[in-house]
Amino acid sequence: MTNLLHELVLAPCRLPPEGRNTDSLQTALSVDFQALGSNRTVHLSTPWILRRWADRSAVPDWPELCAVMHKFGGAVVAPAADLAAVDVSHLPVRIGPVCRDTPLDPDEIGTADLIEFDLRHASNKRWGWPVELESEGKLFAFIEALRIAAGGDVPVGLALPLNCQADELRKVMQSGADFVSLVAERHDPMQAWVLRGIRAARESCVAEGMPDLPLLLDAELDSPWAAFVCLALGASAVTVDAMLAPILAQQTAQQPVSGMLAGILPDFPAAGRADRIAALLDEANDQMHELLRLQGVRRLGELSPKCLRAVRPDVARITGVDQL
Amino acid sequence: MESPADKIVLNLSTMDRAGFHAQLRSVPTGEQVVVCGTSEKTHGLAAGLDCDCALEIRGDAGDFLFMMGRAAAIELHGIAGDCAGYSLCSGSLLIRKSCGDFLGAYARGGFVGVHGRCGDYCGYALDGGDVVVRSVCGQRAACGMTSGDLVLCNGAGDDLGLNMQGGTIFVRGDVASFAPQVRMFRMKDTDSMRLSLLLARAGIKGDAKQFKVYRPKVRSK
Repeated sequence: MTNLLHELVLAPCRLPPEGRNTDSLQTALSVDFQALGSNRTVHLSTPWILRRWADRSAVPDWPELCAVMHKFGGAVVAPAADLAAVDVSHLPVRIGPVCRDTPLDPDEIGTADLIEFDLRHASNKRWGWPVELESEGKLFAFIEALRIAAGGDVPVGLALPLNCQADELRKVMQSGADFVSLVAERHDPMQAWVLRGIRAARESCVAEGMPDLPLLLDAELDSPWAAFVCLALGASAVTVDAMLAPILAQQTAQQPVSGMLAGILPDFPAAGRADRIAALLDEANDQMHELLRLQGVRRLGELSPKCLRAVRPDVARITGVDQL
Repeated sequence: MESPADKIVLNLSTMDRAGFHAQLRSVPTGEQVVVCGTSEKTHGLAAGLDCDCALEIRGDAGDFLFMMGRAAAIELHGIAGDCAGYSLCSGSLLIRKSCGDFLGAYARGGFVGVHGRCGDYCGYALDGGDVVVRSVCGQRAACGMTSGDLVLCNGAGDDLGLNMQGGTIFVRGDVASFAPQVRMFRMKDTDSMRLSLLLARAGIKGDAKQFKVYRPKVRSK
């Protein structure tokens, strides 16, 4: 199967106005979220989000992982209880997941930095509109009420599948949501529908007069280049679960050191894995900065599909990117 | 209606929305508050309110009134939109006129009373709260209910108790149709006492003997 990421390349660089080369260009990977009607901004220094690994039972060194996400200015999608063991000085930005068809939890909502209302069933992950939000205007009223309940300045977003219909996406955008999470439910390697989906979502945002609406993409992005392509096509932030998966899946880190080494290296396994994740995110940040510099853009929001070129006509047609 | 001289008065028509909701959230415990200037477009009124205060709303309210509320006692003189008392945790909400659909949906606790009519899906997925409706109730009341009490004083529409898994429905009057998993039970003394308390709390006169009790055939634990 052709990996589309190998068929896309960087577009020829545009020179910045103040210089002949882009080596000295100051770039930023930050993403900002703002609740409607509020001046408060929730700031992410990097566009990295941890979602599927955000489970303390799955990751024994979870507090260390949170500390790494905090250090790199990313966000974690996790219930409040999952962060109870994390030192308060190491708390990353928390996206509080709120499931449909369940009573809302005031403590969960009152402590989240961002609230994500998932339009998928908690059990079978099939998506659809909750019966109470189906009528015209109800989604808008619900988001407004949720925002008020959370204190008025917490951004509220909606999560729905990346391959949902354009009308549904439009309805979400018209609901006053402060951000939209698009979940690629089939977690297979990067496919055409993922690239086309995120591009179409951004185009819908533009058509609805909300070109800067943050779009969070949950897909199988296993490299900084994959993340860069999705950010260029329209995502504002992406999940890093697939990037971290090889490290997080290493069972050796979960096994305590026994015998003579137990006294010498009591904390070695956990520290080693957190360090490897930190190194990986550090490298990803460096690559992203480099890619931005090569494109002559200062921030992620300035990226566009024009930053990419397709090497084959069929890839250009699938992704909507200009051909080289 | 009492004079609001000794009460905190919040007038939404003379305040910006953010300031209004911020002031509502910061009401001291035990205070009495009069809210006016609201309309049927005022969505999320008192949403997330977590204060042991008495709130009197002299007007209408939009959707999601007192959503996720706790502790407060709210009295609404006008009509309410859909989803009043949504995910209510504790406290009480008394609506003097009618309300829309999904009254008390997902309420885990607290009390919701309506003196007027109520729309469809009353007590939807009720999960421990108590809901009392004096006038006519729409169809599919107690749909997906898991626990709590639903009191309907003037009959019920079609599909009463659809997908109901637990809890108790008290109905006075006719039921258009009820779901196959629901059946009528004999009114016990404990039911009668519970019902009398709920009616008294809603300020509704009624004899418990006039009601019938419905529960799911197989109750969830």
